[in-house]
Amino acid sequence: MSLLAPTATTERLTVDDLSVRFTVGHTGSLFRRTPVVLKAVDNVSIALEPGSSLGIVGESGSGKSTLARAIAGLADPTEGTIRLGTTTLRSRRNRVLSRRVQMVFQDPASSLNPRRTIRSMLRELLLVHHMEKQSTVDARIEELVGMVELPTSVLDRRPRGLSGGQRQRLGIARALALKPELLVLDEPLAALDVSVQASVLILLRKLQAELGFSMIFISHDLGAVRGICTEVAVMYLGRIVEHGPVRDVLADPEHPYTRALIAAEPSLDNPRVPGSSGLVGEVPSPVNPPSGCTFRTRCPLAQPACASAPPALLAYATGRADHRVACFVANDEI
Amino acid sequence: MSAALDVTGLQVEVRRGHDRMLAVTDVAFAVEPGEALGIVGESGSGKSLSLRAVAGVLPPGVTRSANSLITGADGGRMAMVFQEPLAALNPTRRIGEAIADVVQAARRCSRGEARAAAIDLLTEVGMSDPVRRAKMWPHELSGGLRQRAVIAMALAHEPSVLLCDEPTTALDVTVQDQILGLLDRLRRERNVALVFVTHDLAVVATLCQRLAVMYAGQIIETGNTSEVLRAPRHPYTMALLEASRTRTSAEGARPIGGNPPDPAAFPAGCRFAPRCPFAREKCRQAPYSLRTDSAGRPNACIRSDELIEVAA
Amino acid sequence: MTGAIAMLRLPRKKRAVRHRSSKLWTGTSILAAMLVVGVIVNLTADPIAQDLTQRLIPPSLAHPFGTDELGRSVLIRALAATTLDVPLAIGAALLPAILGTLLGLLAGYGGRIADTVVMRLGDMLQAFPSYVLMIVVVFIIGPGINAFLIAIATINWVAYARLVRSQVLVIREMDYVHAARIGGLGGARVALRHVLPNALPQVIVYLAADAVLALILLSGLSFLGLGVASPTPEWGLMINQGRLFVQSAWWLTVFPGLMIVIAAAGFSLISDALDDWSRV
Repeated sequence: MSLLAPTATTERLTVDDLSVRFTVGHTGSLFRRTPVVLKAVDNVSIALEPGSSLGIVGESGSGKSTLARAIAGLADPTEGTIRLGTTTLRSRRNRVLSRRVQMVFQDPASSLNPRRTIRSMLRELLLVHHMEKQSTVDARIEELVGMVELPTSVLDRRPRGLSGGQRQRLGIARALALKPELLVLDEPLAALDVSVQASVLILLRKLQAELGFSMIFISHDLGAVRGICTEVAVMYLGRIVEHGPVRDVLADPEHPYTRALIAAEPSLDNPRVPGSSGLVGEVPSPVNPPSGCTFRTRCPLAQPACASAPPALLAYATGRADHRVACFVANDEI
Repeated sequence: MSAALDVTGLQVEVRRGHDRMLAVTDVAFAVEPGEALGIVGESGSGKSLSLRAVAGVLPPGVTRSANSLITGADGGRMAMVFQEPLAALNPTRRIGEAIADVVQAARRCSRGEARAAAIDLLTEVGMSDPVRRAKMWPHELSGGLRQRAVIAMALAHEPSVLLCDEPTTALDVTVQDQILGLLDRLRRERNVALVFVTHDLAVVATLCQRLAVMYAGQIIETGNTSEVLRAPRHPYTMALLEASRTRTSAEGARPIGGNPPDPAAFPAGCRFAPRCPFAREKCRQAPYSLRTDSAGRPNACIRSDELIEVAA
Repeated sequence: MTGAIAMLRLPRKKRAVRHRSSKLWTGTSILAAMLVVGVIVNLTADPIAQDLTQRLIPPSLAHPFGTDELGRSVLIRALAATTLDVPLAIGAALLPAILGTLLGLLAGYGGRIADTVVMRLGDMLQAFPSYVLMIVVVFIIGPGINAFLIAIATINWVAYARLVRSQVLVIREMDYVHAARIGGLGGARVALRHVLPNALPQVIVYLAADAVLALILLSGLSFLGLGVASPTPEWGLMINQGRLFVQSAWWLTVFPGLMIVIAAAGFSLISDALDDWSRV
């Protein structure tokens, strides 16, 4: 089967109440040590229809990378489930299951094994999974490399001599070699030059259209998300604070954090006064987050009642079922 | 002339084994007190090298040529803020002490006075709870707080010029906004001149009154930020703007075709000519000259007057 | 600046390679030459032949390195010892390297229990002075080359294990390792084919330098009478036997010592060249 044929079946991704917690140390005396727990992901639920793309936006400490890793199988969920169709995905996946979800990493400098040629890396993947035979694997590899718009001459090189853009394309080729249903991309453009970002983004769009996989696109860059995703979820301290269609969320943000995020983005044609995004202070430590709504310590709309409990993702503020906000004030709950 | 910083004839030579190449040539700019100048370019344009050459912090094997002239107002001092605050902060020194060190060296006051001044500086850069924070170690602070600490340390020199090398590139966007707000406020309140190197045109649009665009080691256009961004005169500036604007657009981006030249082999004549859609034969022979064209706009394109119709 | 410097890196490669391999060439040539000469000497001359009429003659034309107390030519013996000492040094560095690398990989990649067991074992071994331990092992097994090799392998692996383990701890967080795991490749395959090759360069550098130390160690043990036995020519043994005459017949200790120094220089050059190579 040609690599360019769409994936056989792409199923729905369902994430239910996912939490990922890490123990990062201990406090207390020698005999009464309490673990210090970091809640990287706190009760996140997502439903992703086959073939669509979800952007997950957030800043440092938002938990977006941990969420991506949990979905890809690199981090252990502490609570909650991740399902593709009806199959539950745990962090230890057998070979067959590992084909269904693949990942593209952020840093082109460390995402390829420096001691191996590209060819040997791709061959290993395809042969171990019995997707190709010795006789057919090289043709398939050349097809893969052509798919990411690189010449076949890169196959016999080691990553060292390749540019960031080329390496990132190869990372995409590697991820797509196993014909996954779901591609998780962790800030794939962040380490690339601006002029290279555009071409990689175009490539991803083209590949998704042709191959039909679902995509989760982690980014701090709203512009990139706007360019490639159909829906977006904004994360803050491990929780989703707003979730909806890209156009809606970016044009009509309801959550004060989303608004600050958009306002803080420098604009070329409509420059705002520097510092006017209105967000004061620093992100609280994920080890000791504020009670109730974690954003309340920096929120211009904060009320005393915001400390009572974490707000739920509801659609009252927008009146549209697919655009939900986790804010008591926005949803008129206070 | 009351410019806070005046740079002329800046050249930077890079030596590797027996190879020597000029990575930066003929760079000249001036900044007035209380003004922010943005130096924009892609990676490899020489913008960072230029800034470091002005500050005198070039890596081994890289030298500023002797003909470069860097002058400032009498008694003026320069301070620098780098992209990675962790590199600028001594990990074994609490930040309050590190800032007090600089204050003491700059003002020759007592340790107690220096410490008090350090707290004042931390307050000035918008750090909440400065007394507690002054006792913290660099690694205990978040990126934004670290950068504020670095800026406080830079201010301890009482500089007339603040050189910034992509200080917000590594920061989250909301933190970047805070730091840009801080730098803007300092510029106005202290009347300090700001030279801000970045690859991000939008940041320059937000913070800087004037900008200089660099390509292949040369400044190819300068002027008021709003003017240049609204109506660029050099084809590279036009292409850069177009690429930035369409970077993530759904209709399709327009990145600049080709690659910047290797400093070991800069083309003769206009260095952008190989990639320029408007290049003519004369472009490959014309020597570099940043001159003011008929519209009063300084740029290095010899065809800029002819191209007015095209850009409109 | 990073961008500009990155671009400027391009011309460097050609020159650097030439510079690097000259060290490698010199070092390997030295050792190779010594071995070749040693083989020839062993085939053509008899290092054990005694001539009691020629005892303790200082260096002269007939005997450039002089003769020892049994009339044997020091030159011939010193050169003949090469075929024993140099390969032995390599082996004595290689064995603990192999053992230590595997254990270090296990400790770094195989989970907390494996890590704890290996490291604590290493701690226990390192708590004793290694020389003493080696003497004990050799003493138990009986002096000789085999004992020496066993002793050195079972005691010196710890440094390699620590080195590899610390490398592995870093490498396993690299994205390409994550990618291999997500790619459904099994644990052993990832460890051996993805992690280990990236940890090896450091091991190789250390190995080459360790060969020098192994050489000196062997010489030291022979000096103490626990290595090779007389009349086999071996540098340490020669130094040992010559020390009785150190004031009257200096050539008995100096020339074997000189051979050690030259061999050590060869190994050092190789180690240095490999170090440069690993930094690329």
